[in-house]
Amino acid sequence: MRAGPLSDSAVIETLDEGFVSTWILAKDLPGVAADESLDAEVRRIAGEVHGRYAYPVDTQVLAPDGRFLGQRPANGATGGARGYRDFLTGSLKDL
Amino acid sequence: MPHAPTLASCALAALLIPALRAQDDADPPPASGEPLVIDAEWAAVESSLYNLFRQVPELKELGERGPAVPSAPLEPGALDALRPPAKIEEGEVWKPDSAPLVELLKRFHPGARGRLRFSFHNGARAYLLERSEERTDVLVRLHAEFQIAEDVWYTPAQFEGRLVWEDDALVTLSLALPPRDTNVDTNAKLAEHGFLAADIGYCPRMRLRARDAHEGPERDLAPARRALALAFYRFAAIDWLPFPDAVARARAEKKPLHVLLLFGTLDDESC
Repeated sequence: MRAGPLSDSAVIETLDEGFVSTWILAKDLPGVAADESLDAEVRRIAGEVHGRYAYPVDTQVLAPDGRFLGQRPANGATGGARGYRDFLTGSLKDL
Repeated sequence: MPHAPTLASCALAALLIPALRAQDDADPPPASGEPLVIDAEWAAVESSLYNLFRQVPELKELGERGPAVPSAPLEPGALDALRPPAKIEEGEVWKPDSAPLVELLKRFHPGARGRLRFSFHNGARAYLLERSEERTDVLVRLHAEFQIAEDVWYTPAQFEGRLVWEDDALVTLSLALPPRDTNVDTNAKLAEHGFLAADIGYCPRMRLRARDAHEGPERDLAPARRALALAFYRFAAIDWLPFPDAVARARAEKKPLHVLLLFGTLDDESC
């Protein structure tokens, strides 16, 4: 991911313009889901994202309300940067 | 009492100014001063996903033995290659020769290498924090790894270094693995299986530090760290938010959320 899609100008531009981005260690998500100092929606979404996590590197796209829109595990993913950009934009068709 | 410049003084100035400018543009002279004594600390990896750091004999031994050279002097000019060229201004990043830093890493283990096997984000980048007549202050980021044995590799996330020269003498040196969980990757061939296994863990302390060195000036290093990350990774330009903040912003701005889930950290070489 570092040297592939995330180093591509078009992917970076797509993310900057159309998305809010976050990265997190999958092992930290259960802690977020259990953290009672956080908003209940944040905790719920963290739990759901972790439940879908595909080891070792995974991308998920969610609607602004946290609804699941799409997933792209890095293992087995094809198409390089173009494929990643198509995944991002394709995930928005159900928005 | 001030007086108007004469033709002769103007001519003298005209002769002198190019000479001074040429001197200004020159790279700094070799460092002088006394050798610094550098102390090395290297703690065992405390936790990892698959426990490889304790299972593989060569990795276990690293944790028990510590650095190869716990303490030794450093010659004054040893890190001259890290001094900023004259054309570099405060707030700018440049790409120095990383070889002297890799040489320094051999104090941890002689297998230090400046070229990563599985990444092209190699070497060092440096950021000029300050340059004045008295002081040159530099923050450096280095990517390197260690070949511990033929099929055993130890890859720290990154090293962050601070170097300060005063009156051409190196007075401060630190080079350390940031203590972020997780911050070390390993690949090791398991004798019983014959394949190359991977693990990622947390090393709480891996640093080189000049003994009795002057403290560098207190500074907000966040802009320099960001600039150095950006010099290695184009994606560092993306406005990445912590997970809870990203969920809140997506909701507030009615934007979709892009969540990258990882086994190891994104913006370093620990995975």
